[in-house]
Amino acid sequence: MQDRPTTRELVEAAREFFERELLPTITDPRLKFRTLVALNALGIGEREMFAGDTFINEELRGLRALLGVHGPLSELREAKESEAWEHRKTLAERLRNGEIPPGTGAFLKASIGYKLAVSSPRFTARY
Amino acid sequence: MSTDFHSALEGALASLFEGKIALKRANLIPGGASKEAWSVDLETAAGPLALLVRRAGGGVIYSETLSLEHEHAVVKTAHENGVLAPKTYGYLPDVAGRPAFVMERVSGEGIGRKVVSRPDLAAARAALPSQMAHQLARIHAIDPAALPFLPGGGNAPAHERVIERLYREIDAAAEPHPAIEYGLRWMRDNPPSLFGETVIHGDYRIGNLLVGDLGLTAVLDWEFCHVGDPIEDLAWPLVRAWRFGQDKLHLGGIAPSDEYIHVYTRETGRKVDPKTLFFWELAGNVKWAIGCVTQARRHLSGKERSVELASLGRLAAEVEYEIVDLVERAPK
Repeated sequence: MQDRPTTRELVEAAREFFERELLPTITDPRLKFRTLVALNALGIGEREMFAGDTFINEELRGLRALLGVHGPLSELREAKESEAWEHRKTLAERLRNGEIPPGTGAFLKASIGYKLAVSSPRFTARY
Repeated sequence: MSTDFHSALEGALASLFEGKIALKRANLIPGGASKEAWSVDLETAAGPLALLVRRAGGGVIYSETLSLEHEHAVVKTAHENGVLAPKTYGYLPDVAGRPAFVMERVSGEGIGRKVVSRPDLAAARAALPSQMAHQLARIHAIDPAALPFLPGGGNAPAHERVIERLYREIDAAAEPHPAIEYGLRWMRDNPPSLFGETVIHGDYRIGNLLVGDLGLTAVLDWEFCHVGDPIEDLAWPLVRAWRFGQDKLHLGGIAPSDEYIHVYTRETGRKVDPKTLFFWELAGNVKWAIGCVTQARRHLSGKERSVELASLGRLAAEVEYEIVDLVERAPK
């Protein structure tokens, strides 16, 4: 176990430095744009760390319901990620073969919503 | 700019113009990783010229794009066919070791976010829908025989070739994307009406068009030009990502799409039905979602390290959301 600051707090500290002290000094528009992109990437990382297991749990629940998978959920993040990957793969294959499980559209919107909550939190409000 | 490059460029340019020339200025325009763009001021016997020199970049080469020699031929042919493509001055096989071509430097706003929002471009935005339709009609009227090297064409209809290519590209990313499959599924179940195949621009949208006070001043970025379904071109500027935040304005964040479609239909005789237009708008979104995934792979594989490319991997979710939303609202 590491001492404070946590990973998230460290990334936040770095982002704040870039944002408040470095960014205002950049005059080249292209460099400024790339710096904003990099800052946004750090923000995504922070939100993802903050979210913890919430979204992967939700997605996994949705995938299992859609594909009719039962059984106990692992507690380990890595196991949950790899189970979700397998279910996504199965769903992708079924869709390609012309089999659309009932509820697919609603599930997809919800699961993409979890991704967007991390990568682009204001996006769905634009619909 | 090094003196060596300056004299290499001046020497190469001399071959294109009658009489004595003098290179007054050459600035590299920031941007583009795969190709350079030089803003060049030239003094010629006939007077001063404002030029843009497009030259191969140092490293990355996209296999899916035209060579500079072919891109030059496309821009030249488009210009000669009355399209607002820049006037070209010639292809240069060797400018300090790399190929390039020379065209006039047209003024106008090219940055999408500014085209959709600059207050002084309001009149231009009002003129653009009909201008964009008119230009596209001209592009689609270019005789493919004039550009025999263009990729595309084949036995299967264009939309089937597009679907096949999209599957190939998403499979190459080796990552399951059910939302993309969902969009492709709809496309396979709902083939579009066919309107023949033409020369198509391949990247016709706000951001690749220069816009001045009175509207369109130039159609740029011809490197994806190929033979395909003209409605693919027609629908590409409708894709949400090219509305630059003006989400409610279907045509590139500048206007509703009805006038644009109406003028295109009037000029080409292609009576595009809503479902076919929808097919290609969805196809555009699927293509861009896969583009985001694929470009992030360029970073991840180490081919081209870039925080912008990396971020596209997470931007894909926005496009996936649009795909699912579109399928839910699909015309019957």
